[in-house]
Amino acid sequence: MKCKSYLLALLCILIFCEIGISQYKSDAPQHSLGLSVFSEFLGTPKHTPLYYLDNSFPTDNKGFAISIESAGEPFGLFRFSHMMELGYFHHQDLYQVLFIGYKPALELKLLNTIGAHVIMGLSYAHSLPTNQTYTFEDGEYEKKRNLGHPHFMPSLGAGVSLDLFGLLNVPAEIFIREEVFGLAPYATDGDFPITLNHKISLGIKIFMD
Amino acid sequence: MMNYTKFILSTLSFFVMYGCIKEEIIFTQEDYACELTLQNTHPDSISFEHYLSEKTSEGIPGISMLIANNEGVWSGAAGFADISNNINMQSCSVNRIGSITKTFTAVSILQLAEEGLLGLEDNISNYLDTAIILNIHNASTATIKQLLNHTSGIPDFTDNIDYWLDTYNDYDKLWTAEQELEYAYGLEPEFNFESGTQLQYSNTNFVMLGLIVEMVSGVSGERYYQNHIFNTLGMTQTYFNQTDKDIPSLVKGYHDEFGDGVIRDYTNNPFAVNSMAGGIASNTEDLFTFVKAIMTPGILLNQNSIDLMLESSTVPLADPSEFDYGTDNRVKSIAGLGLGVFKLNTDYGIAIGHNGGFNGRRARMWFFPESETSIIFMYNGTRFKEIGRKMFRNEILELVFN
Repeated sequence: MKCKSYLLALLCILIFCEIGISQYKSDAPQHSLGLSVFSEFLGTPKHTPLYYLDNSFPTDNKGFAISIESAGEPFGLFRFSHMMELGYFHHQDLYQVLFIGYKPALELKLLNTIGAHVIMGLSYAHSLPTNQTYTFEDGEYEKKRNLGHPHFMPSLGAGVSLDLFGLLNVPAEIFIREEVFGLAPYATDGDFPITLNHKISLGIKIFMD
Repeated sequence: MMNYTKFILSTLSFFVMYGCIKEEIIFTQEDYACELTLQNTHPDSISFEHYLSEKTSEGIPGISMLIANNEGVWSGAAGFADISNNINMQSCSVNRIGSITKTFTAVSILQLAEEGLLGLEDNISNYLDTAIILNIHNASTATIKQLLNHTSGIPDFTDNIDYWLDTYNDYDKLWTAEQELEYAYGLEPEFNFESGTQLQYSNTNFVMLGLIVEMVSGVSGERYYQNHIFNTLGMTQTYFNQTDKDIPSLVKGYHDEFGDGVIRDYTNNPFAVNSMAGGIASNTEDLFTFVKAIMTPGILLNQNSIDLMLESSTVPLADPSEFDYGTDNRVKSIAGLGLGVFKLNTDYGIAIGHNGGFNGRRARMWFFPESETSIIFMYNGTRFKEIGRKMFRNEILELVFN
């Protein structure tokens, strides 16, 4: 019985692969503009979206990002893309972050409609406090413009997408993506060299070609 | 490409220069009004005042202190209660006292024991929900007394990183005792030992004791403290389970988040405000009243309860490094833990009391029975570890006793 299941699964994969060959609507490189909103929270790797479905979502930290993406020529079911992303999020009354980064991704697309992707990122992030800070100078505290702190922001994520061209003849794609990222160096209480954050994004990609 | 670069650089510059910052609320000195009840009678007042000024010139935002011994009483303050509004700290300024709350909870338990409503040797499983008992390590074997002197072996829920992550994810959240205890569910203690065999400080012990006080007395912790301690002693500037919005006179708490000398206001963090392990806000004068009362039979406790409270546990420390005060200091070592109080060996005799604090605030409440000296101080800045350590371990003791 178990063997039959494996064989069936293998057969399905082969069929999908066969259908999937040349499933991209164009073999030419594609350019797109992406817009997404996301919810951000701190969490260890066990704090996946599933964990929070079970434990009620922990945060209302919101953010948004815009991106420009360039996808290369497909090879079979896959294609590589390169993305530049600029985003912002506000974490409680603690900090706000602007980030800009390069994000290469590998996408798998089936039936010209359903896609899945893995994405990594190397970004620069700049955090600022959300309220006034005071600097100790000449024996007293003074209000001073806080120029914030720079951070390296590596990320890794995965997501799924739905191409609307096949369904509605609209040159756009909607996606949902979970990413884990860190801000380093960071010190919420002096001892954390890096934060571990999650971000769940919902976005749209508009094809410009 | 050039246009993109310009756009990105402009966006970054705009963000750095004008990133949204919350507008500060304007307060006046009247908003921080508090009542001064003590007359300064101490002959060394000038040197005490000078010392506090010295500390604020080193970077402590604001500090209030009370010293009382057989020469007299002095209370004073220096620095700011609220930097942005230029409000001075006063000796009666209200600050959060963090874990000094545990001493109030210990007194509450001892009062309930005096009334015969509970026994210190009772197993806590007689009082707490089954879910708590089944899910927390050692909860099924620990007694009330073992919670009071931290020999229960029950893990500290603040050792669970999920607690801190969730705190930072929901910064304004008011945690209930039950919610805090859930972070101890299934948590393996850092030092695993049977109840009563070793000593390891754990905040969970006093969160549980708070639930026991409420369960046995039939009233909320807030009501219990008010009726049996605050009102009894006339502590009119002491609060429990009140956020910064509920206590207008609460001094701001400042924290140096990155350790770079830049501080920010952490006042709105309601950390532990409704926990009987850390939720009281008070001032030096009210704490002085409390210290005198717990050392005097017939006010809050009878002589037998006071003796029990001050009796040191005899079991070894699970982690001696936690109480390593160094060899060159006036505070030498831990002499033991009583019920809700620490006992320290110092060059000036045994000191009895408790420390407290969290982001933005620190408080110290100590009594030296041999010389009948009380030293109580609070300051509203954190990440000043070296200054803070020197203050209690050496400087203030030398100032008072030499």
